[in-house]
Amino acid sequence: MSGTVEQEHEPAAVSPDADLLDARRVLAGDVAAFEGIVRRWQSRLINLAWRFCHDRTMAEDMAQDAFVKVFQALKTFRGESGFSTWMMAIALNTYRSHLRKREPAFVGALTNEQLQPAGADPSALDALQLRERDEALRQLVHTLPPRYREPIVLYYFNEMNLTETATILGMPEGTLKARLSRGRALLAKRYANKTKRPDLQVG
Amino acid sequence: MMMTDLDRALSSEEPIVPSSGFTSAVMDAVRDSTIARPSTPFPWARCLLGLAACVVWAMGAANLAMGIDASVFELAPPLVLAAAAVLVGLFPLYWRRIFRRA
Repeated sequence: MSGTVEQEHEPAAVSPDADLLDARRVLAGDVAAFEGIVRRWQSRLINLAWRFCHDRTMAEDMAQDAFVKVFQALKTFRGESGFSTWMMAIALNTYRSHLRKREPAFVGALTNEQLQPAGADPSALDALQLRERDEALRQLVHTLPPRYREPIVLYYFNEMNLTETATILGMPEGTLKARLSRGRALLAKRYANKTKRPDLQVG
Repeated sequence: MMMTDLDRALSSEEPIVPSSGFTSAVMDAVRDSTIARPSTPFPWARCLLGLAACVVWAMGAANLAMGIDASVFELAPPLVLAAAAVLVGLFPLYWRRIFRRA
């Protein structure tokens, strides 16, 4: 039983050719061929949604909606950008409209463990404290304005690939760099305010 | 705070695993999206009522105008009636196209 589940979760190799092949089959009327695209990209789309909302159910709803939008837009894919970039841009637009409907993010009071200064000697902090502080920082990302939140989430989700992130967001790399810089400074400031430690602010 | 701390915190997020039924749920939603919705029946009653109201209004307006200057608007009522008849006759041919655009 568990083997079946694991098999379904196992991420399939992401191949641009396979995506294009499946897309052609879908456009030719074979709706079932879309399942290949879903299997290859489900983990990535769910995890991107997860980074925006930190709610598993909502992340899966958002990803499902994104897949339906991708399916409906397949006929408009002209191959000017990579399939993954095109799909991520559609997903991002879908997530934006979901997040607009959502209540403003609530960030609860940080725990004592999360209030540890970030610049402290890592050897003095155990792994749990470090993880909790990182989680607090990630929660604070949700409080950023969308113009900074989206670049930060996508940039780190794309393993700090500036070019791909800029293409998905549809903005020049220079603008992206500026927003990342401003967003990170804002994040550090908010973290310092939250922990009442002005010395933690990025100079 | 060092940027490396932020970089580490933001790039080290643990990935989540999709639920076991996620793929089938997506495919169900995709198939649902391909099913054409039944078209809404055209509201003929409202349409005819509206057209009749238009004709009455046009005739009334023409009669009023004739009272002001009978020489100019003498032919108005028959023209309005003729135009209304043409519109009523043509409408069934084009209403699908008109309402699809709307």
